[in-house]
Amino acid sequence: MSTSSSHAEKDLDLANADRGVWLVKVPKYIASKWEKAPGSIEVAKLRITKHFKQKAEVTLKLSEAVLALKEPGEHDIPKQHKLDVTTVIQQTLGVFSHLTPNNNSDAIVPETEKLFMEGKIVQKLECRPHADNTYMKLKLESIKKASIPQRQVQQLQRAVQNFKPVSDHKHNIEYAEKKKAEGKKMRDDKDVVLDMLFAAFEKHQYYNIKDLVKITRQPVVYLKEILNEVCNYNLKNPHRNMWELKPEYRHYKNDKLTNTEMNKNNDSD
Amino acid sequence: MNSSSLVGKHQPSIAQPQIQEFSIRVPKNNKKKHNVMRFNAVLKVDFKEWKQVKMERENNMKDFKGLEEDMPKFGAGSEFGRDAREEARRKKFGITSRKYKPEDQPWILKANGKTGKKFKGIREGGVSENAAYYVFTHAPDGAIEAFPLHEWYNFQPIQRYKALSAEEAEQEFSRRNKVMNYFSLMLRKRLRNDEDGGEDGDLLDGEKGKKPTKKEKDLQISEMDEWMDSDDDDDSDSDVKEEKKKSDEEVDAKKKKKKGVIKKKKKKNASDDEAFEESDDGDEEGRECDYISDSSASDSELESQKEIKSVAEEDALRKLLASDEEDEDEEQADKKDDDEKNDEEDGKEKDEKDKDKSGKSNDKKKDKKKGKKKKDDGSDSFSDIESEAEQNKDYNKKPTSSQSSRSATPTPTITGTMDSLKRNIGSSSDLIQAKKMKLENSYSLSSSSSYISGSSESGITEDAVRRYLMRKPMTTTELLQKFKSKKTGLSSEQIVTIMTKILKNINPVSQKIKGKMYFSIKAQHHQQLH
Repeated sequence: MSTSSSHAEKDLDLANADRGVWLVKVPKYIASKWEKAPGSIEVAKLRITKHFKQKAEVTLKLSEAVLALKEPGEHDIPKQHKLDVTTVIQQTLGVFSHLTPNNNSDAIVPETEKLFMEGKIVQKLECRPHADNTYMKLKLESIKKASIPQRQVQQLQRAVQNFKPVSDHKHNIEYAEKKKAEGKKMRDDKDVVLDMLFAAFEKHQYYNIKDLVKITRQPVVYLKEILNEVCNYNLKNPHRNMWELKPEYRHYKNDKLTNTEMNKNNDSD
Repeated sequence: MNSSSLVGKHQPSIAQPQIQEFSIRVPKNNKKKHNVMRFNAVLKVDFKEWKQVKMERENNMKDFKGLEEDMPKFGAGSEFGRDAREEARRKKFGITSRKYKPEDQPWILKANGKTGKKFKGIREGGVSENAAYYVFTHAPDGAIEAFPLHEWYNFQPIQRYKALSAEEAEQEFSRRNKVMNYFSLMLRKRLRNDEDGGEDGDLLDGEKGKKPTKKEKDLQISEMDEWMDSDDDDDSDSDVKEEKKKSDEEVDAKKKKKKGVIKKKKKKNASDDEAFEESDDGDEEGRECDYISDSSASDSELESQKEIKSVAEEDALRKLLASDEEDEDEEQADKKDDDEKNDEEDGKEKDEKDKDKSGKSNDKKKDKKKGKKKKDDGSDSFSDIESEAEQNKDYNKKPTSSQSSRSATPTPTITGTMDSLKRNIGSSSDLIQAKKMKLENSYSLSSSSSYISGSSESGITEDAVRRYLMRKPMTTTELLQKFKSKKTGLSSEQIVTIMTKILKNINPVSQKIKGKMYFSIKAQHHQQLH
């Protein structure tokens, strides 16, 4: 179901196709902050300063609220960032968004997947922190972190026992209990069993004896007795060791297939 | 709204720097994911021109599933719980299948309806490994909204036409040339039309020219035929054939034995391995030098090596003969004989070529031939017979088990005079030899070359004999012993016949030592022949 819908062709909403957007590359530490911040607050301020006959200077200043969002032990992050502006060359970059419906939504109108064109990227901006003390501290910390080896030697006082023998495993107990609850398999009336068998063979042509035992819940010996009456046992590949109805008992819709199967059976018999 | 509008909201004034400030928000909308689509600039994609764009995920379900057979999921032909069992079976082999994720498949983008361009967007990895990307857009209230970008897709155009395979391309390429050459094609056609008359004439001429030559050949053979009929019966022919077959069988059996012997020898002297390479001239010669100073043991080894080669040669010849022998017809025996002779001639010619390869020049042979002929002309044939008789005496003096039954055999090269002699002999035991001789004669007449029938078959060649005689003087018995040890598959009679012929051809220096006739060739003498 889900695969077929996901492969379906969808229209791309082109309402914003000719809108110009900026692509901004930001350090990871900013991105993590922004991810945590609630959507309503201002996370940063963008300032464009234009001097006469000069390139515009773009700076990014993180808001106090975002800076305050930090877990204990985390270091301060630089506040001021410079944004280097470059234009997009040699490629055409676009942004599209993909709206996927929430699976758990109980909306009355079922949401469908939607695609939106969000615009064309006209400028690339690269966010660079000023090389101040806080930034250096941050880098220092990250370098230290990176230099710690992932595996460390540890002296053990005693042998560590990571395997404990178990006399009776949990799933064994469960299985035994289940069996007890079910009780012994009782021989049902033959007609009842046949009905069950026919119902099963309506769904599939070939069955393993194990599966039939599970489905009918009959003793194997008894079931085999009945199966020998109405079914053929395949000794050869394909469908080796599987039971199928004798030709006179079956009427599948696909006549061709059954015919060939019948031939096969005749051959094998 | 694009960047220019974003930047230029305030009117620029000249005096002081202008400052614009926007507040940035990061709206939380988890449902919407922003992605980048990247096109190469060469493609000249303009989003503004897009109308009616459709996108879909590529369906790679088939590729993912691989070459699994299409089993019906239910109803006829379906197995209960097959998928689960397959999965379990695969797990047993350590293959855990990943789930097919449609959202990981590339995008297919169709711009501007059915006739428009088609693109395939493949996700790129590693872009957001060390940095995060945001896209800044304007919110309606003037603030900037930042959306994180999740994936980058590189869009590439999909070819709508089918590319040619290597073979197809080759074919097309050759056709291209044809098309280009239409002019020359016409020209050629015209030229051909002009030439047609002349060519026909040429052809006719050629035919005329050919015919007489054919007739000549025919005549020759028919001559031989008459000659043959006069002194031979059809019965004897068939006898001969039977005899040949027998000998062939013998050879076959012996060949097998020989192979076994060779293998053993290989084991013995592994150092001589390169000598076992299939007949290279150089190898042979090297060996020759080697074993002049060697003991007799190494001699026999070499002989066996020679044998290998000769057997191989023989194979080809026998094939030729066998093909003829298959369609035996007694009534048309004489006619058949003609054919056989022709074929045999062919075979012999081939044989000669083989010999050429093995380093024995044809020139030498021709020289020999000339010498021989001169001798035939000069000295009367009678003396030859006398020497023959002498040889026979020799044999009689030192009788071997097989030679006792042997009667005097005339030399094959003397055709006219020997003919009468042969008739006188006329015994049934000689019929085989007579037949052989006939073949020999016919051969010497038609192609005039010193070939000795059966010699190449058995490995007894002129050259081999020559080599033996060059090394040291030998009596005929010794020579025969040498060749007998090779297990040639011929009866001792046949060997003797062949040997006498060869000796005749070589014409060695003979000297009597202690009442025995020793033959020898001086090396100088041999070289003079060259």
